[in-house]
Amino acid sequence: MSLAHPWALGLLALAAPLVLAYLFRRSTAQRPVPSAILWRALRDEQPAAQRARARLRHRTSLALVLVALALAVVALVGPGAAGGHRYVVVLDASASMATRHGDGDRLDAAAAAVATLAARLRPGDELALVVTGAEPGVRVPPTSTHADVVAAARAVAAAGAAGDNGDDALALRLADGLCRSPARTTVVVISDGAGLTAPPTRCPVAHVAIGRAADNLGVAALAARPVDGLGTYDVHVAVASTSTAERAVEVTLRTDGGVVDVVGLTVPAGGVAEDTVRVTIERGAVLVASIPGGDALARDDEARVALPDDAPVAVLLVTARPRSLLAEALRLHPRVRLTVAAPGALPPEPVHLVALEHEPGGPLPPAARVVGLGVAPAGAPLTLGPAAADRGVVRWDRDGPWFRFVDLRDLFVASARHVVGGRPIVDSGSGALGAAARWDDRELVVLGFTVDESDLALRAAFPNLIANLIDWAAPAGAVAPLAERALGAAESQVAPGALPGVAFAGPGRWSDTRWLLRLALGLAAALVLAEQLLLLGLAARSRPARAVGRSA
Amino acid sequence: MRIDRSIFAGLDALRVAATAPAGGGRPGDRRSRARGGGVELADFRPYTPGDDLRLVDWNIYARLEAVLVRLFHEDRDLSLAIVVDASASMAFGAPRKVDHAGELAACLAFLALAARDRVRVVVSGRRAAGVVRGERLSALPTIVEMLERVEPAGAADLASALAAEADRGHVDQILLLTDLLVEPAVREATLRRLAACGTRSILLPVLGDEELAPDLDDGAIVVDAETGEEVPVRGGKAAARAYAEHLAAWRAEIEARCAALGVVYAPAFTTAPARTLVAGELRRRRVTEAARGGGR
Repeated sequence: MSLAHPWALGLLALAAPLVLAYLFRRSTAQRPVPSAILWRALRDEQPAAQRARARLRHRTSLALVLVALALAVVALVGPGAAGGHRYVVVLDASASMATRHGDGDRLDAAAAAVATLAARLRPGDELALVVTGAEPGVRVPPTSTHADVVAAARAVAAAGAAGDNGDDALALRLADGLCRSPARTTVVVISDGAGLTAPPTRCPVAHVAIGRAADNLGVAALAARPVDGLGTYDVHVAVASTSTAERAVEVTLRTDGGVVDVVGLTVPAGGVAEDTVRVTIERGAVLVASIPGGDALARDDEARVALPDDAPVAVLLVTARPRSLLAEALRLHPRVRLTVAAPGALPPEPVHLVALEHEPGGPLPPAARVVGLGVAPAGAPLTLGPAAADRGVVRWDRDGPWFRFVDLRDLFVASARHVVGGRPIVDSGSGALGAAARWDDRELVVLGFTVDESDLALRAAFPNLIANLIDWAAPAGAVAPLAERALGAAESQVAPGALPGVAFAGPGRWSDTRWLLRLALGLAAALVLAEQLLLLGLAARSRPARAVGRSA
Repeated sequence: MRIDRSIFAGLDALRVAATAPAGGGRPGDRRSRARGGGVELADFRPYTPGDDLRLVDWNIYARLEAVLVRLFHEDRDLSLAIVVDASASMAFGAPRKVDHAGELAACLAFLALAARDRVRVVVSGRRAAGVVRGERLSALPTIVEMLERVEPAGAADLASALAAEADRGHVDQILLLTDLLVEPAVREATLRRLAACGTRSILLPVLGDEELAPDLDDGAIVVDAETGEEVPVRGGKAAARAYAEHLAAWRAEIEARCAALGVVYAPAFTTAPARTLVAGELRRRRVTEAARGGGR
């Protein structure tokens, strides 16, 4: 442990002369006696070095003075580490902190908690500020200028709560990274605990709980999935409730063009209700889901999702049959600008998607996506292998962008060849019937069978497959960035959640050197006063008695 | 200091003891050497012209044909002098030695006055000096008031005070109440003067806890209250033993000297109340006796 003023330890050397003075002190107390006649026989003729040692009362006096000296040294030396303690505040600025709290919101209360903490710190203590939520990061590195941290916390509160707790672990790891030693650093999490996740840390973690449970309804989820590429979407909406009673709520779906739909939900107490509706929305619009406000958290009363626009997709179909089923399907897609080329006569213009029904017979034009149906282009990392003995589809990549709303169960494949290489995306019992791979700067998907070699065209999955391919190949386009999205059920849960560590009690009095200094010096003064009173008591006993009343 | 008047209650059963015939000039209740009117036959002497014929013992004349007159014991009163030391050394102790001596002197004065003896109470001190005489109990309040006003100070010259008493006339008994904490030469002179003062001289040494059991835990510089002499002394158990031995030797020396001079030595320490001393230790030492049937 380092000391604030190590030079004060030298004062302990004063103990030696104090002890010597007591041991060899000559009693100079004068004692009036009736007559010295009887005392002459006790005349002290011995030298100072041989005087009797201090009796118990003088030893008590010596002990009091030595303890007072020790306390004074302790007070001057200063307990605790030089430089004080470091407190790394993790301020939760996620959306749930926008819940109303008193005259402001929880984030305002959290900023006030930071100010309260800073006010109780010693001058040598350091304070740092890490923020979670929409913009996690270290806002103020460890500093002894506590006012900077308080100002930064207030600035975060003024900016408002936003975001979720997805980066809580990052923030806490950042805070833990500021820990210089577990004994001298404390991570203080100031949060409502809603959705908070805390990884294990090296330094001790304490928390300051903000907020209390409140009734709240919030849009917990909003997602829109295009169905047919023609403006039809399946819109999924979820509403979370922290109410203690079942609530009925109407979710209004709207775009700039007006209300698209109203979804009625019955949300159970403390639960989530969800529904999926199919709507037709102009592509490129922003879909907004909103519920009536006025509850504890206003931020989750509305959610938005930006729908991709319908920028055209240039598709080159290489086929020997210009009017194949695939060609017709592509022609019908509203976004497709279809070019049909015979093998060997490929146009050089770049396209978004190259679809191969036959060998291209030449270099492919620039394209970000290439799909081969029963064809693997030369030089590609995917090749067609032997004929598939087992053509029954046992597995396909359901999460792949090509297979949304595409069900390949019981697909009849008359003939197929295995696809060798890449990552299998369709499997049969005997091998991959489809695979994906990266081919230079292109993405390549190869199926080992053609449309005609299966009953795929007879399934509802076929148009979805085509739409998926077009969406997969579609350029990013001028899609409006999503301003906000649904907070998620966790952030809508305004009931404070579990917080990591123990409740932060703040810097204690025992770590306050100034308080200890005053206490130690006060005790030292009291002991010296007691020692003087003891000596006065000894002297009073030797004074002659005054007149004593003898009345009955 | 206030003397509680209740201490006199019950003391009328005692009186100051007289081991020698009283020499007082007034009639009293004490056997004296004087022959004169009385009721107890003391002696016979030849008739001389002028003697009262009623005193002639005609029975002796009838048998011996000698004319003898009867002589009777004449009871006289006892003259008592009580000298109280009021020097600065008497201010120590709890109770103060001067207060204890005052109570004791008051009790002795009461005994004397109650027995129709004459008493003279003398306070000897630099600041407090006074003499009160009394022959009847009516003088007791005056005596008590004087004793209550005593404030010790300075060094008392007891030898001079005793000499002054001797000049005032012979007394049958003189009692000296003092701590006798004086230099040996002064002590010797005081005892000699005391022995010469009266027919019977009594020393009542008054010592308190400061002399009998002083605090000797720590060394100190003791300062004589009368002379200002400073003596550095040591403390501790060895010092306590040395002091006790010295005190015992000092007391023994005084008692032996009193015995040699014919002075009655009756310790009157403050460890016992005055009333208890009067009825106890002083009676044992024949300073006091029962008021009826004793001491003739």
